[in-house]
Amino acid sequence: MKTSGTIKRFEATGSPVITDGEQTKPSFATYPVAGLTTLDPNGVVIPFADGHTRQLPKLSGGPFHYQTYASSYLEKAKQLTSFPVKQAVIAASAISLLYPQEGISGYSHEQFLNDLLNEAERDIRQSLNSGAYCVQIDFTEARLSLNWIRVADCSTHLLI
Amino acid sequence: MLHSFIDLNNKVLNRFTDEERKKIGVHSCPGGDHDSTHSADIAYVDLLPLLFQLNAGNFYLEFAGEKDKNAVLAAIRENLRPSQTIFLGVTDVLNPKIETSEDIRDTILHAAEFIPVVNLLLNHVSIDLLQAKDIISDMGYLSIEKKLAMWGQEEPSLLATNSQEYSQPLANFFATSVQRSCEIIAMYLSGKWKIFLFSALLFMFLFILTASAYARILKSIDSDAALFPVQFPRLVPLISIGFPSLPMISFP
Repeated sequence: MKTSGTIKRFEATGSPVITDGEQTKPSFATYPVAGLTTLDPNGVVIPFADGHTRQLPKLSGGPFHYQTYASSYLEKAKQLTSFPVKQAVIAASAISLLYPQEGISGYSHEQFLNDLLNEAERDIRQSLNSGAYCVQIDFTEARLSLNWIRVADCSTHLLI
Repeated sequence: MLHSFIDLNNKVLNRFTDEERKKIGVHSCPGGDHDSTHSADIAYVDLLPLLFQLNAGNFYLEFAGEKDKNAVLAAIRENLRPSQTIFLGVTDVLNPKIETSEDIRDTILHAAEFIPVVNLLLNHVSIDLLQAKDIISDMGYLSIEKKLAMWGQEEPSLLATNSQEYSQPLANFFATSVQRSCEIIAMYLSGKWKIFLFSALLFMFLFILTASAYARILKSIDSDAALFPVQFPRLVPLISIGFPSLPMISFP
């Protein structure tokens, strides 16, 4: 279903605040780096209970900047509705997983985190400034991180 | 790992003012993807105490799919800070079965047992609960619409009556309304039973004190004169009905 249809149906439910269902994004997690040239495949692997996995890309160079901010999706949604819109953004912690464990020469982890903090702040602030009713930080890796060994095991296994 | 994640996200959140943070929330779930999850088996109760350390105003929590809801609710109650609001997901997005209105009502009432939700009585909470992102993420929209529509029907019935209830005998209707009143009062008093008990004990103490004083005065010689202010109100209806012209002063 197209985003416009989603929004119309969400409006019809009577909810006072709606979202675009994050359908405009290429991915809820990696929309900020879509189109980034300094990316390699073979990043962190996330295993799921049924055996399938998802793999993040990894960064190959700096400085790091978001290619897209969530406010661009908000602006599209606001063209389709007059309802208050909640905008979802990805947590800085999720994007931090893109920095490779082996490091990047000439671009330290600390430099990366500084860039990331600025970009994550800008991602939220632009959505607020563009008239988001509220902003939701997607922090789905929170629960997974309590058993990070599982991810590490899986990654190692795939690398071997 | 989680500590460093929370630390990093707090560094972002701390760049905003308190006013701005009221509009910023955090979503957490076991990572639904292809009808599976990456961390549903990891205890929510281990996560929540740390999650609420995030300096965000709102928390959008996956809830309906949790197996041990009591433990989750208790952890929320113990760790939520006063400035934080939670939004519970009341539909399970990874279960193709569509919840009935009773299921959703029960989930909310279950949550209300642990977390004082006075708003429940105003039905506002339903709107808040349905904003949880869980319900709009993975599942087909048709089912969500059905879920929302069913909850929409459920809303008024907590306080209003169903049409078939008008054809019931009056006694049944009365019993239902008493039962509902009790339910609502119990819901309101949840977590406040200590105050209720204390008030009851205080009332009993004052009642016994008054009754013993009354008995003591009755035994004294000039009890009639002393008790006149107490007994006078009882005589007022007699004065107004039976002896409208009787002057008050002539009453003994």
